[in-house]
Amino acid sequence: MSFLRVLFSWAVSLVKRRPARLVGAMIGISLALALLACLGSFIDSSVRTMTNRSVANLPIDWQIQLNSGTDEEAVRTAVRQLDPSAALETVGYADVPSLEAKTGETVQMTGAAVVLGLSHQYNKTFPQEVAPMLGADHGVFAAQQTAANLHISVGDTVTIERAGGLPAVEVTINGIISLPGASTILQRIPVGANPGAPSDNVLVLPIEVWRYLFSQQLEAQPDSAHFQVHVHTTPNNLPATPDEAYAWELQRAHHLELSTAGHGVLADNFATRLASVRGDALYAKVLFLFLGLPGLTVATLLTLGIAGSGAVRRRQQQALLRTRGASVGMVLNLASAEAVLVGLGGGLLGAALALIVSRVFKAALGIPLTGMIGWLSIAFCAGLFLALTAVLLPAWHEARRSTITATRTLWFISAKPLWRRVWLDVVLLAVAAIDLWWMASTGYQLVLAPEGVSSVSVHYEAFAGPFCLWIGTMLLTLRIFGFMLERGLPLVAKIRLPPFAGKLSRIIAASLARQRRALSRAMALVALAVSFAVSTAIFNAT
Amino acid sequence: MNELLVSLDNVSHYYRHGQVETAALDNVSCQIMANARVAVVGPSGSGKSTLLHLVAGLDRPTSGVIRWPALGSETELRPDQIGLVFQMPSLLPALTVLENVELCWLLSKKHEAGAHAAALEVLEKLGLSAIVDKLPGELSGGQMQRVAAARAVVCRPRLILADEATGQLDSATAKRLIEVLLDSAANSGAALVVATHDLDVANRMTTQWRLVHGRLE
Repeated sequence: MSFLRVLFSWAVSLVKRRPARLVGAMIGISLALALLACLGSFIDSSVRTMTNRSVANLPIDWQIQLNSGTDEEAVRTAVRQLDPSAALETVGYADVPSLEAKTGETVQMTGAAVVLGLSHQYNKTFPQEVAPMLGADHGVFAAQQTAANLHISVGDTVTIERAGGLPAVEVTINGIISLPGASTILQRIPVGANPGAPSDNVLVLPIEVWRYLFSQQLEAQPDSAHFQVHVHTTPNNLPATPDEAYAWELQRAHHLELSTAGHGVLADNFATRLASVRGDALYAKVLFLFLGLPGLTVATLLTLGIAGSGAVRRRQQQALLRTRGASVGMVLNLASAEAVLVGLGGGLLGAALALIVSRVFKAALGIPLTGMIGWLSIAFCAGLFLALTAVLLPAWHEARRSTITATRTLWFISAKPLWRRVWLDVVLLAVAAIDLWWMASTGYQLVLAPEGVSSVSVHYEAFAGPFCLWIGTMLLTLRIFGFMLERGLPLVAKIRLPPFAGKLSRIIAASLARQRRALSRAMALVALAVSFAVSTAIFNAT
Repeated sequence: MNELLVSLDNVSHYYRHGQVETAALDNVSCQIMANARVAVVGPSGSGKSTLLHLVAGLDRPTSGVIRWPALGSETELRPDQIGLVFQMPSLLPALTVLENVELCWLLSKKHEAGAHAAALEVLEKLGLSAIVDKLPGELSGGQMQRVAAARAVVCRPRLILADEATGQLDSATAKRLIEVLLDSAANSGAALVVATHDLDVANRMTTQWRLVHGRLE
């Protein structure tokens, strides 16, 4: 009980006597924590909402091209068994040799054209496919480009040359439409077979008219006309993450293919969209690695620097405590009082900061409050761990290794650390150079754009280069500045180069040389921040 | 030559802790002449350190006037005019013994070239030649106090102030330190003012000022 009182008094005393140092460390921790929580939550929520957002505006989820003579109802039943709420529309497709129109004294003729047969409900079920521009809501429509090619407008007559040697038919145009989803509605199935741009010459007929005009063509030349069932699904159980959603969709499509085997061929636009979202999610993770992680590392190192800046005062206080008979455990408990105080304070401040940022930039970040809780907890624990590491580890080390007298003394340690003796900086830079050369020689690019379609290709071994470059640069900076301060400064002082110190240059040089470790660390931190910035800039540029 | 170095006229100094105001010096008037040997004695908390700090220009009085007729204005006071030895040695931890002493010379208006020789000379007088390259963290308490004394006298100041400089030393070391201060003052014609509890040290001075509750008796 009495020890608890001592612990409490110690904590109160710290707050009263060292508020600036405590607040500084708390702010450092809170910034690192807020950065981690915001970044983590943002990436997490982006990846989760990415799935729903991407499939929400999908024009047609499934297109099932029916084989010739297939019972359409069997396919509809199979779809409804899989998704009872699915909306379905049957669409007729007819390839015709040409369209022809006579305006005044001139006759215009197109090349090969497509005549679609849509129900009057189609536009309500798939609103992104057909957009009326001019004329009636129902009837025969010409696509905008087709109307331009044929010089026709509402009320004009178009002659459709039918395939299979059938006589041409004439239709009167009731309206002009655009086809914003032409790449979907006019895509060739199976997807990937005969790829090419969708036809510019498109007429749309009511499905009843289409059936009347093209049933003969369907019989005479089956490969020139077919039906498709377009499906808009209601994926209630769609998993949130792109990977899981993609796997879920593949399974669903596989079930449909099994149940419609022999009846038709499926074009799974839903799975195609999810596959591209997987790439986007991967890209988001890469962004986090290249943009978030470096920032987080610098913030963490800065926090450790701030928290560790009171190390000398702490060492001497701990030595005094040990002189007065405090055990190692007691010293560590008192040290942990400061660490917990800083960790908790920094944690609460950081959580508040992260919440404020997420609310202020709600529209841009789109982080839900519930989505932040997990990351805030992780960041809070990380902040506490950071504070404990910065304060407790040196205290434990001193208490275990050093005598009280040595702890009370302020030493300027001159022993070379292990990494300097084994030239770890040079080794890491060599590894970085080899990795970067290897990646360059294999022509690796993070974002590929075959035929204009960008996709992400991540080789995680490619990250080894920048990683080794960062660490190697930091260590090399430590070595170079350490050497310069140790050997170079006294030399510079002798030739009186420093213009500001005047006759004190020799003394100042000696003092700086003895404090080279702390100075080099600060310089290395700056070098690390610069190397992060360079890597990020290269990443952004490429 | 009986030159006036410092004069204090009705000087008072108060320390404020929240609402409580404590008088450290109360209406003190005195003068320090060249070649003076003054011991400031009195119980703990009587204002000895405050008096020395005001004389050195380290602090400003709450009321009253302090003048340094032979030394210049408060802002012109330099180590070559006033040398200080504190109760705690207060050496710069990143500088060696020699550099700590040299620094004092380099901060004064004296020429840089003489710094090294002057520092070595005074360190030798104090028996510290063997430790000139050591850092303060490697010294004993007595050694540090002697380095602090060397730092105070290296510039041959006109006024030497020692605030309980022998308080933490054994009697032999304390005696040696006082001898060095007296010799240095005699050689440079400086005044020496020592705040002390030690009667032996006080008796080595020609004048004793007794402070009780901030008043000179």
